[in-house]
Amino acid sequence: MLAYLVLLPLLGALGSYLGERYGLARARSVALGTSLLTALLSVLVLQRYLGGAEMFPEQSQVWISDFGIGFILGVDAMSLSLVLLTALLYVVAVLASWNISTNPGRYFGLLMTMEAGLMGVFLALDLFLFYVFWEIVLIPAFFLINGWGGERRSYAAMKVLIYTHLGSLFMFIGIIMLYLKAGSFSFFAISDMLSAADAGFKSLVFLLLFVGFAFKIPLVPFHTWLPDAYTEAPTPVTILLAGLLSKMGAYGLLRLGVTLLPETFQSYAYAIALLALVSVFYAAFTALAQRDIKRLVAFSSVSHMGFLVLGIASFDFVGISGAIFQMVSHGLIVALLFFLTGMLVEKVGSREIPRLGGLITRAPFLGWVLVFASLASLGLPGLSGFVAELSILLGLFSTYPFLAYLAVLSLPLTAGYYLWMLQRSTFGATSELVEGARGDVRWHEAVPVLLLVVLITLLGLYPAPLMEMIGSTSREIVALIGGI
Amino acid sequence: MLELLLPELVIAIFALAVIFIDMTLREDDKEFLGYLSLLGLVVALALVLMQAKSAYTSQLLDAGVLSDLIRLDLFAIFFKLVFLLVALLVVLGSLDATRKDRYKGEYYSLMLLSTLGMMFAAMAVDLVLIFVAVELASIATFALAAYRKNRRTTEAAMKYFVIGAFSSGLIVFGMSLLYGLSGSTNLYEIATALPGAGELYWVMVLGVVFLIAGFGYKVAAVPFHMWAPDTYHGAASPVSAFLAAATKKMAFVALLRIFVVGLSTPALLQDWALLFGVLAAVTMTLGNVVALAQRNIKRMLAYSSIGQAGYVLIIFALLASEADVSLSVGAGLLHILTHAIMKGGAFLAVAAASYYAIGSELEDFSNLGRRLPLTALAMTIFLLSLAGIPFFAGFVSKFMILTASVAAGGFYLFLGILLVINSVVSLYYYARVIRYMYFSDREVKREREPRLLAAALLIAAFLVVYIGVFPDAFVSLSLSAASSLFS
Repeated sequence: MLAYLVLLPLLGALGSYLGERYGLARARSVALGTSLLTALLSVLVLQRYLGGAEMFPEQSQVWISDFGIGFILGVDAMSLSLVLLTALLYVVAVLASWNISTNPGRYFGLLMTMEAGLMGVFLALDLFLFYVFWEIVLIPAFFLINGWGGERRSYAAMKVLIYTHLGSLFMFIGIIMLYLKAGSFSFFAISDMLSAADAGFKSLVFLLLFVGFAFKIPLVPFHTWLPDAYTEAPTPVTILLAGLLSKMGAYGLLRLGVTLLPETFQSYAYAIALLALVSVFYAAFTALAQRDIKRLVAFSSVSHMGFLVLGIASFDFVGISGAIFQMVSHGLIVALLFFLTGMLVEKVGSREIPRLGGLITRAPFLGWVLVFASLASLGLPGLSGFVAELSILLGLFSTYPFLAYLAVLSLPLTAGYYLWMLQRSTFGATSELVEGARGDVRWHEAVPVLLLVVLITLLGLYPAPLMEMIGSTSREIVALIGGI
Repeated sequence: MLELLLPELVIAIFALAVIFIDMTLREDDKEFLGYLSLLGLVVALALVLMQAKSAYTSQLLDAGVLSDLIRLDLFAIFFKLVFLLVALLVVLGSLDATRKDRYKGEYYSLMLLSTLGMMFAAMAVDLVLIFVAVELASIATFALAAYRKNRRTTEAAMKYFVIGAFSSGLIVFGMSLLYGLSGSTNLYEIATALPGAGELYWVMVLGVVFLIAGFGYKVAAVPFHMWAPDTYHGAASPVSAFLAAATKKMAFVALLRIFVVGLSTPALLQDWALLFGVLAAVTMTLGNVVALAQRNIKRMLAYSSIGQAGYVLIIFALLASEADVSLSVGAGLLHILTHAIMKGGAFLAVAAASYYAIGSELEDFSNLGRRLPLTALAMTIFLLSLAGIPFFAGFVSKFMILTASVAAGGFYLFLGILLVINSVVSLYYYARVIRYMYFSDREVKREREPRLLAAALLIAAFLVVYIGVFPDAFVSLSLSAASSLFS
């Protein structure tokens, strides 16, 4: 069943590529159809998972026998939440691409290929397969930025390709080391092998893997590719980069770094937490200085991903639950924010904060949703971001109280740059540009926006079901080092 | 016994037939010669495939009285498949690419003769036969490099010829030293007869150095690489495809046979492995870094070829390590196969472009995605595969080389890391070509690809994707071929 989560988007990719010759509408409706079907399928998977079916792993076939490589797919609570997030954000991204008119077939084909890769990353339980999917995500991203991005797109595309490829290859060396010791790429075989491996080996492997994750998440100082990529990519691709590709890094860190090498991770946890804290503050201060709203959101995203890593590094039940919750919550919020920046360009014609003054008078829907998204991002109680960050902080308090105090200081900073941005743009004096803004909202804009707003609120007011589901994963993780 | 040489006989007969029939044909009818060569290659390929099937079960086909000279193991058959496949693709592409050229008879017969030489080189276990086979293959390509005579091809061929003759001299000198020391030209006898570490040890090392230098020129390893960019750039694109994808691989088969079978006495092994390690490191780094600066796609492909040869050279260094020898050699073999297909394909794509008088500068490829969609798609597949992107053939073989070098550990891990860094560098210049093909605004009009050239490109692209998605059979074939070298 899980294999269809990978196959379906691939079919959609082929379908929309071929659909181009029948016009734009055909290509995009094929893409929308397959993304909806994939979403439906992932809900069915959820249903089966909640029904208690054995899904870890769900299926395994031999792929390259001489190297013990298998096609092994499976889900647990953590990967399932990311699968659901992927399916959801793809519906949003396809709707955000509604007006792509140059080469729509190629565009939607690449977009859906990327979904197949993303699904594969979250489902793979064979490390070779994991790496293969991990790499394959990058290629459509490169083409999408290069083909449909902003002015400096080729520079940005090349940068993201080269930087993250470099990181991934170091990760690959780490994976190969694990294989050579275990004789198989299977997650389970490697996990068995590692329980008896010596600490020096584990430490080396961990560092190699960590480089790959740090580039992808990204953590400062591995983040330099990000501002260019996020800013130059077309809106839907930015949604996917920030909402999903960054989660690949966090997911890898949890799945390989933490679950496979718990003691090693623990010995580096303080250093990683410090790195994450630097990310949180560095990105927040940089966000403060941005004039372009898209760049502001990009840096704010780095800052929030830093928070997520803090939660993982806390190695505490509440902290890790919070981190996984943050994966979903940040995915939703950042998708909404980037969706809105896309709308701003379309309706107003600019992303420059000073030129957006008085937005709320001319385009009330856009303005109010922007207010909502900013509040969600800065962690307003009652919205999903608050739940996630509170849990992360609580977890951090019990492990590294000093770092937790420091981390708390970042919250007013985040509030600061968002509120200041709102004050200058949405509520400021009406600017010339905004005078001419179009206030209309089309269905393909309203549907994803409202969907995200509802989900963010729902998860904020009633986080229990998701938290409970995640709890099973984080309990297992904490149990690895004898916690709880 | 003679039936074991049937594929070679077929090629020889067809090569001669092409020459003689050429005399009887009018200029307009000479396209027939291409189809005739194609037929010969297909028959030979089918025969070799049958040999492969029986070699899989018995590991070694008995060569009878010839067994002092040739050894028909899976290793030899693997290379014969590579050579025939490349020749097939190039001849298929040439049917279109050289349609407007004269001297078709010479062109096709030389290509068949060169293939014949390579096939013998794959089987030879005797220094003299190796030399003769390598010379047969090389001399035919000297003439091919000058095909479509103009200033540039003449320069290409002249450089190639002078360097080729020089390197042959080095090889003969190295071989004569080995003969003097061991009293035999058979590699297996050399292996047992070579003196151990003693007074004569340095003579032996001298022989090894001459052999490495001589074959170093043939595989275009740095610092013996200077001729390659000029020759690949100057020669007609199908010829460049043949040189990069087949002729170069022949030097690898000879190197593997000579060093693994004849020269792997423990004392000697350590020394030449180190030499190869240094050669590999320099070759891949220089090849890839210089490729970055190239604005001409053929030159870029030539330097990338140098870089990729460096990847294969890694496995020679690994032979002295603790890594499983069949894993190391198997990795090299698979990379030789995949590189032959993707590099040959890439040069054929340039040939397809030049069919419409599209040059080989980067700018000439602007918006090729609109102009020649099929060629551009195939080229994209070859380039991504060369860069080692998953689900393409090049990834699988690079993964095997990386695994072998990680398994070797220590100093060899350094070679693996260098491979990784080079891979990243190479991604930049491969991606740049793709960017020009798909993401530039130049106005172009759609053109129809020449049909046979398109077919050659499609076959190569299909193979690249197929090996990338279903690598299982190819991985085990190359591993068994490698282990048959040691048995």
